[in-house]
Amino acid sequence: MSVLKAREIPVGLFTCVVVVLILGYFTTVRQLIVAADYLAAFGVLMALIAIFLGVVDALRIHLRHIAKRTPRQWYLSAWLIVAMMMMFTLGYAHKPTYDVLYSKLYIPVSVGIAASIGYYLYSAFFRAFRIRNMEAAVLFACAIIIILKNAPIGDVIWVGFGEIGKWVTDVPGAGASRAILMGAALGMVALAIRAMLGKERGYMGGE
Amino acid sequence: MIQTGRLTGFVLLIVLSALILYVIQRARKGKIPEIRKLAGLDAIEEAIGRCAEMGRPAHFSTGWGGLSTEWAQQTIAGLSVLGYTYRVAARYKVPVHYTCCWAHMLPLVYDLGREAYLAEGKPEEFNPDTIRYVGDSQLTLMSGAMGTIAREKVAANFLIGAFFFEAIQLAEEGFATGAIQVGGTARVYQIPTLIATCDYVLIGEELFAAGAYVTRDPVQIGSIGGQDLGRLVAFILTVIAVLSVSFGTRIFVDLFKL
Repeated sequence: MSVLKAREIPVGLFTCVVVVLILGYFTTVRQLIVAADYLAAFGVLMALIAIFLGVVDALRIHLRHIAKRTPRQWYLSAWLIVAMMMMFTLGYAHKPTYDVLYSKLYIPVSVGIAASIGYYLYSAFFRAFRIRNMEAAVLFACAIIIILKNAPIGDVIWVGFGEIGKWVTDVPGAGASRAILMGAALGMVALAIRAMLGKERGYMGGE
Repeated sequence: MIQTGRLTGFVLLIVLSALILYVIQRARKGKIPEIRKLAGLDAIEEAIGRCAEMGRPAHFSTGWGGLSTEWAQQTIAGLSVLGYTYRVAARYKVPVHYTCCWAHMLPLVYDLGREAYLAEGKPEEFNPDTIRYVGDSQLTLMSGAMGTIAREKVAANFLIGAFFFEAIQLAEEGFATGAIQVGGTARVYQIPTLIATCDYVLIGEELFAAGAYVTRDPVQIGSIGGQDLGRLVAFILTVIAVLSVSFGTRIFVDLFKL
């Protein structure tokens, strides 16, 4: 097997990076702290450089759709490439036009997409709150209390909603959240150990 | 040598790692711990089978977490499940659309898909065009994934990884197309969203156990057993801390500030 294809190299690199990052966090050894900061910054830098890879990949896929006239797709691919090239060129050639397109077109469209979350939340929770069993009934009661705790009308109806809502959030809510967080933290340690043993390979492709 | 306030954390990390390694070692010798069934992971084959019956594709997203943030472990766990999903999909000849919002994940996902199809003896059936990069923004992930789910009329939607507020939109779009949905995250704020919208959900540590669970590898199953032992230690420490504070002593609490 080629040296570059050997699994031991990425696993070894991963292990070294993890050990340096952990020791950099826990110890006062200056060299380790500097190395950990450098590695963290290097990771972010590599992710930024990879954006070019993303652009090339998007161009490859969408140009192929245009060439093959893929039904219900090719005209969207063409529009994507035109928009991408237009924004890229204007960013260098004519900044004021770029700013107008960004602030008057991209931002409002983005806000519109984000705002639709409100609608989706209501439709999802409407289904979830159909009382089918005891657990659903408790979930429904807690949700109503929390809504009335946060909504101004809750205090008008009964001042007790604030107190009960706070208790639900601070006692059973916080307890359950901490239990999930503790379990997740242990899961992360186990996953890191599996990765250092070369068993968990999701981070380097292949199974 | 050890930074102030981090000594107990460091000792606990070593103890927990030692426990996990001990159980892994026992598993290597054949003493494999019993683990409970995870309905969410068992449902993957059922969901892909449903796609095959309906002649429709599946969709997979690992969320906005990426690999360069503090949420990377959840993304890694999601990628492990994606690898397994690709293998099942290769068996049933079902295309899996993956919406990628981080360019640095593209080579990994291509490799996952390629190797999964190769392992199933069908390398020529892997279609790289099903892996679609939509840009690094959360909003492009939402619109890109929602568009794919709606246009391709997916029959199964997998949302497994580090999810933020995009979870609700992706899951609701999946519901609108009538897809069977499997969700999984360790982000506390998004767990209720996935529970409300998905048919099966991996909660918290179940997500991290997923990669080991689907491989059925004794060593990996051993690590889950070690994880459970660690949870027992955490439970005992919590009970001691609660009792000590209830009886008016803060010695145990102060120990964690060392």
